[in-house]
Amino acid sequence: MTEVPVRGAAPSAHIGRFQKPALIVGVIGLAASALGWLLDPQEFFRAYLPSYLFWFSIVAGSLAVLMLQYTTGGEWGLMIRRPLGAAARTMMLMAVFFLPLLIGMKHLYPWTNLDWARHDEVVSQKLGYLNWVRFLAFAVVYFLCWIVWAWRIRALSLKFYEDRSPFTDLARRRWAAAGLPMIVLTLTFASIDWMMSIEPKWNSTMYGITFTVGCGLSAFAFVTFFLSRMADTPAMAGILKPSHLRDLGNLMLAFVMFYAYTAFSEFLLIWYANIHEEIPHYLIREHGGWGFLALMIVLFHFFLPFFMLLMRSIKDRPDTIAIVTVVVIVMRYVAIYWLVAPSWYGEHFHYSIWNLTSLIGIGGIWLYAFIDQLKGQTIIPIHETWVEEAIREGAVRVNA
Amino acid sequence: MAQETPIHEVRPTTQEMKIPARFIPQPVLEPGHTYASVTDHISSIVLRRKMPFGWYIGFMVGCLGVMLLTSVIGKLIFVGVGIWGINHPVGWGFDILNFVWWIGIGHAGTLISAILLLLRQDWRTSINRFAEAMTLFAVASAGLYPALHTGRPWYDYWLFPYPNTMTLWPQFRSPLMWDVFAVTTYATVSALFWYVGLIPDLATLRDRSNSFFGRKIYGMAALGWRGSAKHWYRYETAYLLLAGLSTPLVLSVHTIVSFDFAVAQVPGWHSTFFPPYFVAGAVYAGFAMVLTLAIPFRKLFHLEDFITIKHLENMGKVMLATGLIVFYAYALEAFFAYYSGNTIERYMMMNRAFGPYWKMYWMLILCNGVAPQMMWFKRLRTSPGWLFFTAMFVNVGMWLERFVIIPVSLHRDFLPSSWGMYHGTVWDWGMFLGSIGLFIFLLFLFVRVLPMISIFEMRTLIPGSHAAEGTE
Repeated sequence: MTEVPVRGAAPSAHIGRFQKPALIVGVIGLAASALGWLLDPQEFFRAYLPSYLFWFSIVAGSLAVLMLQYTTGGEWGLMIRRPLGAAARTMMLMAVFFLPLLIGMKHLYPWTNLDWARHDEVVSQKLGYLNWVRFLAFAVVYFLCWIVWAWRIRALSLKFYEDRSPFTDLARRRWAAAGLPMIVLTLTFASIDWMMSIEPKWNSTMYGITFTVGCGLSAFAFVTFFLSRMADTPAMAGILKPSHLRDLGNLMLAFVMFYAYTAFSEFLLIWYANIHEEIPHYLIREHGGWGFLALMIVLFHFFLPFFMLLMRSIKDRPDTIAIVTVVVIVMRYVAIYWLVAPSWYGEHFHYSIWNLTSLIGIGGIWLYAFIDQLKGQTIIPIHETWVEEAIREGAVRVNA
Repeated sequence: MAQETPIHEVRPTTQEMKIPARFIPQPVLEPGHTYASVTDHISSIVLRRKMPFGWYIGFMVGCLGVMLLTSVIGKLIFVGVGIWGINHPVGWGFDILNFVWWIGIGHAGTLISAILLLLRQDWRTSINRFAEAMTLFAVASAGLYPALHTGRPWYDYWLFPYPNTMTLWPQFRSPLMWDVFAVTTYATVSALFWYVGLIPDLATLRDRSNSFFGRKIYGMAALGWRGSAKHWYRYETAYLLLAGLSTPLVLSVHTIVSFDFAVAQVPGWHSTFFPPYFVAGAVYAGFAMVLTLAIPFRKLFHLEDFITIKHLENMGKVMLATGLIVFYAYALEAFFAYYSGNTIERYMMMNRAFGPYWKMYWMLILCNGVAPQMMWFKRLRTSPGWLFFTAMFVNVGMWLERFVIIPVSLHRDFLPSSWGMYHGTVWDWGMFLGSIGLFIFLLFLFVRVLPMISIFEMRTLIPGSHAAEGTE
C-alpha cells in the first residue's frame, strides 16, 4: 500500500470565494438584460446570441477536449481533466440559457419570416431545413447528446474511483471515442443552425470546422487560465510544473494555428473565386468598424498569441501564460461577435449595452455553476492509477 | 502547509491490483533484444548476399513496371498528350488525379517522421525510415505527372522564375505555380530529413560491411561519422530542426493541392473545407500505404519483433481517425449541395450519386467510409490480415475519391450542351501502372541497400538505454 496525498479540501476554499460574487454579478447582468428584453426585444436578442455563443463555446469545447483526453490519454490532460469535466457538466445550464433564443427566433433568423423566405429564390429551396420545427428538434438532439455524454463520462469516472477496474476505464474510453465524431457533427450543425443561418443565402463548408476548432481553443484558453490562477494555491503548489503549462501552451498554439488555418483558407477561397453569392459575407465584414475588428482578429487572435506561445519563457510561467489566455479568451468573443453581428448590422459597426449585460449575466451564472461543479473534489484526478504514479515520481519528467 | 485533516489516503497501486492481460500495454520492441541483436538483425538484411525469394519477385514486378513506364513516356513525348483520354470538357484526368493520389500517399512519411517525433511518440521509431523512403518515392512518382502534363516536358524549367530574354515570368496568381514550389520544397526537405536520419546507420553499415566497395560507398555516404559526442549533438540539433521544417509541410503541400481545385468556380471543386479535408485524406492514404507495405515486409524479413502489433494497431487507429474526417467531408459535401439552394450544386451531387459514374461514388463510400469502420474493433485492428484488407480498401478508395472529385465534376458542368464522358485510355492506365512500378522498384531497391529500420533509434528502445529510461 502506498500513501497518496489528497488535497481535497483546498480547492473549494480557494475557488469557492469567487462563487458568490459571480452569482451576484450574473443576476445583476441578467436582470439588466431582462430590462433590455422589455425595452427593445430585437436589440436584446441580437445582443444575447453572441454572448451566449461565447460562453457556450467554452462549455462545448471543454466537453470535446475532455473526450479527446480520455480517448488519447497523455500527460497533457493530467491537470485539466477536472476543470474540463466541470465545465462540460454545465451544459444543462447552457440548455436553459438557450431557451430565450427560441423565443427570439424571429428577431434573429430572417428565414423565420415566411412571407419573405417563400418568395426568395434561394431560401425557398431550403425551407425543408430552415424551419423552426427542425431547428428545435435538432437543438433538442444536440443538447441531449452533449448532456448524456458529459454525465456518462462523469458517472464512469466516479465508478472508476470506486472499483478502479480497467474495464470501467475502457468503458469510459469507448464513450469518449464515440463522443468525438458525435461532438464534431453536432457542433458543425449547431453552428450552421445558430450562426450561419442568420445569413440564409450564404454557405461555406468550412464554417462548422472553424467553429468546432474555435470551441476547442476557447476551452484550452479557459482551463489554462484557471490552472495558472491555481498555481499558488495549496492545492497545486509543488504539483503544477512548468512542463504542464508548456504542454497546454503548445496545444493552445496548435489550436491558434489551426483556427487561423481554417479561417484564412475559407477567406482565401471565397475571395479568389469571387462568386456573387459568397463574397457579401466578407464584404460587410471587412469595411468600417467591422473591418477594424477583422484586423484585430488577425493581430490578436493569431499573431500575438502565436508569437507569445512560441516562447518557452512565456509558456512555462503561470503569470505570463495567463496573459496569453486572457488575450485569446477576449479575442474569442471578438471573433464570435464579428462572425455573428455583421449579418444584422452590415452597414455600420454596432454594439449595444445589452451585449455587455448579457455577456456578464450569462458569464456570472455560468461561473457560479462551474465552481459548483468543481467543489468538493480534487483538482487533480488523483484516483486515476497512472496519475498517482506520476505524482509520486514528481509528476513530471524533465522533458515531458 | 499545516493541515489538520489527514492528507494521506491509503489506496492500492496499480502493481498491487490484478490486471487482465488485455490491459497490459504492448511493447514497441519485443523483449529479449540487446544492442547487438538489433544491429545484427537489421543490418544483416542489407549486408547478406542472398535476399528472400519474395524480394526477387517484388523487384521483378517493379522492373517490369519501370519498363512499362518508360515505354509510355516515350510514346507520350513522341505523340503528345493527345494519347490520353482528356478532351473537352474533361481537361484534367488521370494525370492530376494520380499526382494527387501519390502526393497524398507521401504524407504519412512526413507525419510519422516529423510530427510524431515532436509529439514524442516512440512507437514511430521502427516505421519512420521506411515511411520516409515511401514519401520520397511517392513524391517521385507524383512529380512525373505535372512534369509530363505540360506536354513539352523539356520546357518544364519555365515553371521556375529565372531571369530570361523571353520576357517569360510564371503566373504567381495560380495555385498551380504554388504547387511547383510546395512540392519541390517538400521533396527537398523530405530527402534531407531522410538522409540526415540515415547517417549514423550508414556508418554502422560501413563498419560492418565485408566488401571493399561496401565499405567505400557506405563510408562516403556516412560523411565521416565517428559517433563522437559532438557528432551526436549536431545530429540531434539538425534532426530536430528538420522535423520542425517538415511539420508545416504536412499541411502546406496538400492544402495547396486542394487550392488547385477549390479556387475554381466548378461545382464539386469550389468548397471552402477542401484544405483540411485534403490533408486528412492524404494522411489517411499514406497510413494505408504504410500498412500495405509494412505488413508484407515485416513477414518477408522477419521483423515481427520490431514492427509489432502495437505499431500496426496505432496505424489502424490513425486510419480510423482520418477516415472519419474524410467521411465527415463526404457527408458535408452532400448536405451543403442541398443547403446551398443552388440548382447546379445540387445537380452536381445527384450526378455523383446517380449519374453515369454512380458506381464510382458508391464504391468510394464503401472503401473510404464504411470499410475503415472495422478499425473500431480491437480484434480487427490487431490482426495484420484484417489491417491489410482494410488498407487495400483505402488505397482504392482514395484513388476513387480523386476520380469522383476531378473528372466527375468536370464532365457535366453548367451547360448541358457541353457535357461529355471521360475514360482513361490504355496509355493513361499504362502510365498509372508504370508509376506504381517505379514506386515498387525504388522501394525494393531501398530495402536491399539501406537499413529499412533505423538501427540506432531502435537501440534507444532497449530497456536500460538512456532514452528508454526517459533520461535523455
